Amino acid sequence: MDMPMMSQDVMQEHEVKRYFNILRESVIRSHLTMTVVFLTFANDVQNHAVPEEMSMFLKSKLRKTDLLFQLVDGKHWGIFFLQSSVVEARAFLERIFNILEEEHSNLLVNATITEIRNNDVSFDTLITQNKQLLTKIGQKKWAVEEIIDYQQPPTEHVKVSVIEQNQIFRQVLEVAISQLVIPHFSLEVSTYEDGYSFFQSNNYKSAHIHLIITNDILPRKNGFEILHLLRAMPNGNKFIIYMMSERNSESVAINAYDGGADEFITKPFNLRLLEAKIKRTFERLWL
Amino acid sequence: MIELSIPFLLSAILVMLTVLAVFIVYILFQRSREVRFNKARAVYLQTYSQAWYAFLFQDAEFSIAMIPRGKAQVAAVEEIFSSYLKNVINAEVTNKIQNSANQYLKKFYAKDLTSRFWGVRMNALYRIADFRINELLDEALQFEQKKISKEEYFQLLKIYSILQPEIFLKKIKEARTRYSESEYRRLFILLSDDVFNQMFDDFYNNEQNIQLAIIDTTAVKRNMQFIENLKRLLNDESDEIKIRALKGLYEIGIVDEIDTYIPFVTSNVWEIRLMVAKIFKYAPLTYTYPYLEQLLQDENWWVRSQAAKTIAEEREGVAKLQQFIAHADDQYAIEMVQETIVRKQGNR
Amino acid sequence: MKILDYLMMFFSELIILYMLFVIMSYCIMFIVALLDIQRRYRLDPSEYDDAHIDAFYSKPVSLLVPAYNEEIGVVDTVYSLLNLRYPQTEIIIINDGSTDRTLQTVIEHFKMKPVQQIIRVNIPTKQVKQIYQSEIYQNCILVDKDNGGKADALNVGINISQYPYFCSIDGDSILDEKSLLRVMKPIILSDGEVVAAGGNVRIANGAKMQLGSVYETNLPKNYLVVMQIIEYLRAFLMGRIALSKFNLVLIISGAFSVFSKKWAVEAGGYSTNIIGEDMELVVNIHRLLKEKKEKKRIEFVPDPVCWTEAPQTVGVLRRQRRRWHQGLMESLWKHKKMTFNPRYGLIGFISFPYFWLIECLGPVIELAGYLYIIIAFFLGGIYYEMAVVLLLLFVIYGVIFSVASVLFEAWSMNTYPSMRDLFRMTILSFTEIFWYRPLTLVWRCEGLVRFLFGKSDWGNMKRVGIAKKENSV
Repeated sequence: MDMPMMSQDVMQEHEVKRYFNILRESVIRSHLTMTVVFLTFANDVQNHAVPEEMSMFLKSKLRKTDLLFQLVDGKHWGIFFLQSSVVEARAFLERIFNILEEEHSNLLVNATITEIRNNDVSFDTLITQNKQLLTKIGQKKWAVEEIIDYQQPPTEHVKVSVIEQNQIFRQVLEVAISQLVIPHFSLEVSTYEDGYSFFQSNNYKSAHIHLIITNDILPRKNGFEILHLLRAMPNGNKFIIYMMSERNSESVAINAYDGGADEFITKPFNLRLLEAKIKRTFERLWL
Repeated sequence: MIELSIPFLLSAILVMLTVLAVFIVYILFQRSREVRFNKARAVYLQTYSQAWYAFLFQDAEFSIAMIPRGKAQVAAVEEIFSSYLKNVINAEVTNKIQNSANQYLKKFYAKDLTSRFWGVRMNALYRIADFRINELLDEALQFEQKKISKEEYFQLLKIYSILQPEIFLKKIKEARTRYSESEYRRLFILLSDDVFNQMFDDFYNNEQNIQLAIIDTTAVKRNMQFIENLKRLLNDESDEIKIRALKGLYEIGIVDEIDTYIPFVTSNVWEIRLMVAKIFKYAPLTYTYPYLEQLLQDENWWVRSQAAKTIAEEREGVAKLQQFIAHADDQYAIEMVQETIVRKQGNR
Repeated sequence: MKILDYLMMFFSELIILYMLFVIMSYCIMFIVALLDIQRRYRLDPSEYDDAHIDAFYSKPVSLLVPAYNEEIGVVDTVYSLLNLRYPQTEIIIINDGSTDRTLQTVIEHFKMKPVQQIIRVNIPTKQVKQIYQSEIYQNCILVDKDNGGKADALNVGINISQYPYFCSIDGDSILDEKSLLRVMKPIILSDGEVVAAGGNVRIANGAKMQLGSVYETNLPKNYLVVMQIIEYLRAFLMGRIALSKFNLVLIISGAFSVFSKKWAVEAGGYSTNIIGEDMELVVNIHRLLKEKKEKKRIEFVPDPVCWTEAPQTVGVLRRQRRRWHQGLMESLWKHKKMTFNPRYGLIGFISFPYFWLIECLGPVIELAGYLYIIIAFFLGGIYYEMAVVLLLLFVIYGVIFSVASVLFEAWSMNTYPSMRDLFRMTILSFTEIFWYRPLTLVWRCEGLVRFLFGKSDWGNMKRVGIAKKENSV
């Protein structure tokens, strides 16, 4: 293994290692899935120009947000696909395999995919594991295997605040939402009778993602004011705000959306629908 | 000389004071009853609202302990049911509430219907409609035979419309009492499309208040199939009906062709011209512009203002308006257009 | 001595006759009110309210809040308006050239941003300087204008409003969340046959309020205020309800009333050169309706509640009463031709005579009655009896009616639920004739005198501008 096999234009293993930790943490914080693909040759390559050719080829096929690097041995390549899941990685591989078969018939390639949604994995483990897997499937051609160990997001604690005046209905919402099972999220539900008591509680100050389900009319500090105050906060985006209203009037709904509400729900509504909306809202947090 | 002796006045005052004293004792008594009532209601709510939730939403068993006994507990159950009905749509829950009301509340309301207090009777009628207590339909029909107020009859109509639409259609035709448009609207909005269609088929056999209410309700129902119905009414001879039908079409907000509306651009009723200017908001400006330009120079302020607004809504509308100013000579129209442009740009 | 005898005789006859007449008419009105309220006994109003929260049933309303130096109260008022359970409203706050921080307070609180808007001038007014719109609540508008008095401010509001009905609310009042829904009820249900409706005004002193919502009503400690509460109750049970039943209302409180814009504009809007602009508008509309032979009505609605701060000190109360009475006299005098004019129907034959006799002259005659009792006491002899008769009539008129009103209120509406409050009000009612009544009589007579000598402080009024400015002292 001598130096000429290394491409000058492609990042090297030791350079990428530093980035990986940052990328991995931002996966958790921003709920953006990252997928890593490793590639290697399935056949024995003698020609020194081939790895260089491979580097150039891969580079030409990537988006600006994808990060290509070469491992120390010069025979493995890795790619970080940011904001992408295994589906996109597979699509990418399928595409380049087709092109390789047609245009570079001298290259036979195998690949592995690792989808990352938690921070349980270190860079070294990642590389070791993938290398091992690639070796294992060394006999095949055009094979794609997956490592699924890091695909489960960590369970995230989120807050839900129900702000509704009618005590009976407030209870209904509290029970219904507490019983919701949303994978990878644990909900902490609290209820308030109006905006004033909500702001008194200071519950809104934590950094957790916070779903607010509020009525528009409330005795002290109404829904619109809650909406405005929360959206004006520096980290206002952590709030997901649903507004409920018994006023069946377009202008109220438009005002709510203009003010930054994520959902406007006219009463009476179907609880199951609300539950489905909440579920979908949280699922959508992970790409 | 007026014969007002001191003893007479004194005794009159004494009598009145006694009456007031009795009244105050009565109020005291009533207050304490109220306190007990509220307490009993609160206790019931505290104890059983979870159980009701479990029963209605989670298919839990109904326990006999939940059966309301006495007025206070009935009031508590009413509160629970109303809260759910007001906030939640769920066919299963509505059915369960109906069944429970049929079983456990029926006898209370049947008795309330015979109360001498109008307020109590009204409350009972409200609840029968809210909880759809169909087993009280016979009582309602009997109740109708008594000498009842306009408001009570209205509630009866509402009950029929919910529980037995055929009776409702019959009674509406009888027109025993006349109601205002808004009251008719409150009735019609609850009707299913099917029953409502029957009302529309019978359009001309009704008095005007009902006709107008039917048109307005049509607009709110936003059902595509009603558009044709409304268009047909545009040939009516009454201006009011024409205006309402246009308003309805505007509210539905679907304009598939503009030919129907063109004759109204030159109507001699300004409200009609105004409605046309509004409706054109939903048609491409390329088709409507010549007519809107005509309306820009209308003699009526509202029509001019609406025409300018409608034009300005479209993306190239402001440019068109500026073009218009360049070679128009109608000073009023020019002013209106200028103001509209200022407003449009100012609020960006 | 002979002359004095005849004079005393004559006066006592006159006063007693008058008292009997007043007692009779109050009795009649009380019975009418009783029947009306008894009917709604135990009715659950929430049923009706819920049905009407849908925009489809109700009519949009523009809420006008004229504000002159109201930096303390106006924010709470607007909050209470934002919390109204009503599908479609716009809130127009009109800053009438305040000299304090009213404008800045509103701008800061509701994040107001200047906007361009075309104003259609229906009623000529003072210059509008700038219109603002709230970033939080898009239906909330602030208008900054040159000072021109409350009436002028309201006219600007009418010009800017875009909805067919407008509701005027004083910048120091708070509305109950369902009050607008209920005051609009007669208008909506009658398909516009009711062209104006006034709500019931309650005194807010003692009520616990926070951010524009009243969550506990207690009777205030101040006797003067409690006395005013009793007075309000009485005025409403023995007057407003009965008059409203027969479309005879001449006064609906300016603190909270709804008008059809069409009719108000046609009647010329609010008059700027008169003290009682609210009464003036009502009378003008009545006049217009009768002249056009329209079968429209103006109603008083008993339960919608508007909370307003009442004067707490004698001085402020005195100024308020003096001004009210002067305003009343002005309006009556301006429309004196309507009295007994067959063209104006019952308004001419009942309302006007009623107001002339009981509201206008009443204080004079009653005050004379008080004087009579005092003089008779000194003269002694045969006058004793007369004085006692008169005193007893005052007791019926003052004490019995007040107690009856308090108790009836407690039975039907129960605004002050604690037993202690009820007793306090009842006992205080017994003292009314000895202090509160004579005091208010004197003040009203002062107003009358001021009217007669044209001592209207125009310039001063303009500066005081809005409403019961004295209240917030």
